[in-house]
Amino acid sequence: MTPYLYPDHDNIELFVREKGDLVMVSDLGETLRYLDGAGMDVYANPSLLYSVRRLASGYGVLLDSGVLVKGGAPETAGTLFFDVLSATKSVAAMIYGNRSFEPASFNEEVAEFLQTNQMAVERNVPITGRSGTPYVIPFQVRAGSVPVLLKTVSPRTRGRVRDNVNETHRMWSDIEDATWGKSQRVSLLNDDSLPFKSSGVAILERVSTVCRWTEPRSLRAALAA
Amino acid sequence: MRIAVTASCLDSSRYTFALLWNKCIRVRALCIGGSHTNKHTNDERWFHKTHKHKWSDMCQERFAYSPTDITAADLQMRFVQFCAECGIACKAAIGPLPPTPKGLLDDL
Repeated sequence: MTPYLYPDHDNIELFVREKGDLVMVSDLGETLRYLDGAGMDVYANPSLLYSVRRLASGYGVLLDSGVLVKGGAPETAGTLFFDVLSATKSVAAMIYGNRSFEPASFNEEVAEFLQTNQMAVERNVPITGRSGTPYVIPFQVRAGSVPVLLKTVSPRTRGRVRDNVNETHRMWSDIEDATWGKSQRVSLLNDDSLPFKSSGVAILERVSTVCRWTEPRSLRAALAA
Repeated sequence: MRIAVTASCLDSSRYTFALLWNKCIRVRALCIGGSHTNKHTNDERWFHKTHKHKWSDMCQERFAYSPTDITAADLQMRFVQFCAECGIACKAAIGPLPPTPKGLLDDL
């Protein structure tokens, strides 16, 4: 048993046996068993299987019948041991690409904020624009005298900020003014992680009330209006 | 939610029951005969001893403790007790785990 740990802090165990003139070091399938038990079935997903083989081959380790193994001369046992250990840790770390290790999405954070502030919320509201285009608004909030449509603007990368702003502007422009006035259309910018240019904000302010995630007071005020 | 059952191909007395939420989050896992080291909360260790993982926001799946509600000696009853602790009524029957295929280790 080694002091090195899998992501769930179970100890990594390696197994050494002699095979003819060679020494074979392996994990006896424990690494893939760990991934399988965490919902990642490597053999059921060709992409994952490719990744495992690729990670292991970097250390000269083979994946054989679900076992990470490397063989060599007895005098190289120490090197074999650490090569298999390195491969085991690399493969086990694939679990971090799993959804369970991702932070909550922005919409989930906003949903939690609305719930904490005891606002009645309907999620994923379908609305058809004047052009006939269907839209799905993440939140319809009833906190004040009139309901408010809340659209989150949370681009994944800096390069997507402008596109997200344009898409949001297009959507609000297409939604019926008579039914949803400007004060009932809120664009919530996720400015915690990415900057929004003043020009983009000005564009959105023509068709909606713009709020920033870093200014929760103004958001509460806009929703309660 | 689903339950994943995995067993070591070296030693069929070492196996794991895992309760998965949303297909990938291990909210509970019972490791029979496994080895574990707590790092976040305390320095408790298990060497080839049964321990149970419990999900928390702080530790995720890394926290383990010695369960007091797993008292059975056979696979089936341990599974039932694991499900009971999770609030799951279980009528599934798990057959005996297959033995390690002969020659599997010889080829490695």
